[in-house]
Amino acid sequence: MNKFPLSLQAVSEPPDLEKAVWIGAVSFEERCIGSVRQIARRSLNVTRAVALDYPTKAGRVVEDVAKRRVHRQVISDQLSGLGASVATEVIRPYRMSDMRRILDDASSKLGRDPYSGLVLDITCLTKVHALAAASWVVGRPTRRPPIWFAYALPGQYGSPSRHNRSLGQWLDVAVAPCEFEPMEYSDKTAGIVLLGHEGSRIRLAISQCEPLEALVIVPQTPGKPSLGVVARTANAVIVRDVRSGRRPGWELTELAANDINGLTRVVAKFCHRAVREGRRIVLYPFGPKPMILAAAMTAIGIAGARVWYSYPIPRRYDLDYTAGVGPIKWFVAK
Amino acid sequence: MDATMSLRLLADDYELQEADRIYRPHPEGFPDVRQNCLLIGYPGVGKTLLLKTLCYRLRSDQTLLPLYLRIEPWIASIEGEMAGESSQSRSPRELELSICAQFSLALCVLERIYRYGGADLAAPGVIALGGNEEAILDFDGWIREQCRSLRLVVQHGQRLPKELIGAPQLFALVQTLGQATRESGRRLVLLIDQVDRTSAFHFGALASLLRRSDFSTIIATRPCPCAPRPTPLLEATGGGHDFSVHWLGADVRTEPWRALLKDIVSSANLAEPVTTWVQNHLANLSSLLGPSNRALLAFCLEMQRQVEGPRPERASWAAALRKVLTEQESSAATLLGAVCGQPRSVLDKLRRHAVDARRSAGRGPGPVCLHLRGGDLFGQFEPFLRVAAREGLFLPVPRDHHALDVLTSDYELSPLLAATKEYPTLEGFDDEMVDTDLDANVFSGWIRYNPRVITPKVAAVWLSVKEGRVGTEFRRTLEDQLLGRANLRTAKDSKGPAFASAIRDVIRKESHVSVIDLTGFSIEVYVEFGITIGAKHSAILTIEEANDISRCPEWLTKLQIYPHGTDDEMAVLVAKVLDGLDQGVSRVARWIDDPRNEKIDFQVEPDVVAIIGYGDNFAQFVAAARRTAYGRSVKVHELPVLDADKKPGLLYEGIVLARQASHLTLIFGGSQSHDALLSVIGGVFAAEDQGTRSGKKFRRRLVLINETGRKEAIPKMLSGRPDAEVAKGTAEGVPIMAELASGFGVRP
Repeated sequence: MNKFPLSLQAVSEPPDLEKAVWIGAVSFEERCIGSVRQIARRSLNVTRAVALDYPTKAGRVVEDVAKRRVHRQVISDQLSGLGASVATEVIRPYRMSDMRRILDDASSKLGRDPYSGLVLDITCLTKVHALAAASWVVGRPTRRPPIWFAYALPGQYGSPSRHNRSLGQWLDVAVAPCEFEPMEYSDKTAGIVLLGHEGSRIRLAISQCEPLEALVIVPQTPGKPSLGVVARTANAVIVRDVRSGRRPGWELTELAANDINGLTRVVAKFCHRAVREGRRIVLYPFGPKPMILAAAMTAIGIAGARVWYSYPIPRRYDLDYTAGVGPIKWFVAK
Repeated sequence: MDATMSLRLLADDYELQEADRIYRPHPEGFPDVRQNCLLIGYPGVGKTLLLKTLCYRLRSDQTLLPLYLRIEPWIASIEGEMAGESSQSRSPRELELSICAQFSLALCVLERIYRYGGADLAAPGVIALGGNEEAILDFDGWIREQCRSLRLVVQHGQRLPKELIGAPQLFALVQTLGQATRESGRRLVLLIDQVDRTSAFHFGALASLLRRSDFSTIIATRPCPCAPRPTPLLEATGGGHDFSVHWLGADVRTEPWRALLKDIVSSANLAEPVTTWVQNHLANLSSLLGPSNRALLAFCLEMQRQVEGPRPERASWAAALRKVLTEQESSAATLLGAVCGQPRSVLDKLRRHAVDARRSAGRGPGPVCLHLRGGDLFGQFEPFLRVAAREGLFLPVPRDHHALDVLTSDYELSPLLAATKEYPTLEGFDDEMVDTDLDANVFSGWIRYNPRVITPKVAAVWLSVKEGRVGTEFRRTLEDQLLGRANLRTAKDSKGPAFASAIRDVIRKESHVSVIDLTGFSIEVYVEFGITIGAKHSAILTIEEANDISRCPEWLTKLQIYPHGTDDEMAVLVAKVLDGLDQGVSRVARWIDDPRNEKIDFQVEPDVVAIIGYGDNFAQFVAAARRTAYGRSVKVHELPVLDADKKPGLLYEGIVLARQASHLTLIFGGSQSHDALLSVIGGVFAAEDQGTRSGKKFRRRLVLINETGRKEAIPKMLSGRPDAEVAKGTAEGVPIMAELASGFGVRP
């Protein structure tokens, strides 16, 4: 177990590399093309691109297919224009091994060139694949090329009431470790709950694996207070239970969604304590992707194979979850 | 049990001791550990606590070696890899994961037996799993190495090593360990927890331990552990029923059960008013909360919180109960969402039905028994009933049903459905069960979305090969190398008079990937390649000798062809086949990836006649069709393929036309390369029988014109289609062209 784990750090610019491999998911959300557009505008040297196609469903089939088709085409056109060979990979959205395989392949093709690197667009990756990426990055501190993460904020989110329609539409709940190491198992659990906009999903995830102690992180978006209202409304039950002392071992922390360093600090502190007490750590990954990635990298870096996740798998995604493309955020693993 | 082992046991496992201290005995007692047993109980009834306590107490018995097995860490990664899969067939990856699960469970047993039984008892198991004496001496190192092997497969998606495929089944391994333990004068007792966390696919391995053997197994589970799928208990145990069933909390409205609740409440160290109140109302509570002791404790803690809060005078047991039950309902509703359209709405309707039944009987809140009447009961509701039973929402009557899949037409509704929300207070509660009927067809309407129960089957590979010795050998080799991870299907599997249609159906409906062997030249193989493309499956082209690739038609060599003559080449081919089965079919493999035309798919269009071929008379056929089509809504598309070798896009254009055309004419001229191309295009066309015009289906026609004079020029796979027409030369062909182009109405 590392005392100083690898952490995610925000950077202002996309990487200027001699040879880059772009990996990202094609989605019905427009923001899946955000990083590609920025890369194309800045004429970065992308030599290879892997567009991940998830066989998931969202809303009406015709609309879903049409949106993905357009986004796939934009990714292909923009990156081909930079001279990149663009490959499409259909992968299972909840299989960690598929994501690791993609990263292994890309990494082996890049080799050891110091001026080359991976650009992973985490915007529309499934949360399970974001965790797989975190585990892959932390597990290879030296045996991998440098990696940058891109995350496109949406222009706006859908309406807060939309989740009522999809309440209870979960196919399955995956409760599994990020790393297969059964000998490291501990009965005692500590949870890191990243609150998002899906209250029922979070409650289901918790009900499948209830931790005695937990760190509940409420992301704040100072620029968009309405998002904070949505998150608080969706998670009112959990927030009330923690604040009223119904869950004595649980603590609530409010953090700005872009405060990755702050998040890393509180997660690291919590994880070190959990490790000292011999607990395994269960992630409930429902906040913004950079926060999920940062929390997972920190937790895996400290607790290794003792990090688990609980993740309800939706039957269908919300086609109107977001609209438009907002600013692109860049991060690097250091 | 020797002193050293006892010390070891006590040193690294305090949880069992703790369980022993807090356990309050169930009225049903402990199961008999001298025989196999299924310990069944609803969520929260205390199965885990009983199992841990039992394990702790059995350790003092010198004739037994009890092992408490928590399987979650050994199986969760594998379950996680398979989460959310709803495909009807099991891909090789999933079959490999299943083998990993068996192996991982074997390691789980072995690790425990080494810890608590010593190296001597673990030795036969280590050897059975391929270890040697060194492995026994350094057991920790060995088991970590085995976990590393599993990790590469589970976590990194690598192929399963052959030695793992040949590893003994879980039952066989545990039987070996059981015999070794018996020879040491003890009986191995496995106490397996969390079985309801496994999927139906892995349940069989665990349930196999219930067979008659030299060891005892106690499996603790909820009812319907594999919900929404059936629990394959009988298949796994051989149907011998060599186990007893031990239900916990089968009837909670009895004095012994209420005594247990009283005991639990007394030992929970609650505030005096809460303890007094709960003990005075135990009859109501045990009736309303059902068998869940966890729910009782949650209720007591909620009461305690209210009593110790700033406004103790406002503490309300009805409100506390409602809160506990509402939380349970919320969790259950989200889980039921997988098997019905509107889970909240279904629960509300059930609640109203129950309340109406109680009110018509002149009673307040209390238990209700639902009798589903009429309709195809289990066909419609199986998944829903299983999930509802597993979550404790539907309690089958009688509750001590002697089976694991407790499906019946009579259920007590969980009191949480009958007791909350509709009644502002719980005044007038009574303990008497009220019966109510519900029409199964009405219930079916409530559920709306009712996914079919899918029994997974092994993925299949279609092998298209030239008949003969070489083809037979290739089939055998491929079958050997696939190691049962996929079934191989060939023309021999599609017998019958209409062999062309039968083969087409096997490729389209039963296979997932096709291996097209181009060794030798068989025009039928090219048709099967076309049918695969038409079915939008992956086609993997192969040939025996790498040098022979250059002899294939040039238009084909633009595609990837895998040789399989050497062992290494064969291994690459097998890996490609397995990858093809594991991964989804890409747009490129489905031939719908057109950079010029970003249509996601090509549909059959009405009134389109396509003429594809070559030869001196090609123009005559096209002209005949165009003459007739003039002034009509019919579109005639021609595609001459004479320079197929020089035009790499011809195959793609042919495929698009074959997908779009309502009627297709292929003109075979005797050139092997060109006829092969036409055969592929014909195969694509043959994959779809019907098109749609104005909402009505119409039959597509395939016309095969033979310009060679040789009968064998036309592939039998195409001419054998019942609706295919074969014409010779222009004399027969031109009138058919005119007919095809005439029968579709006149332009308005």
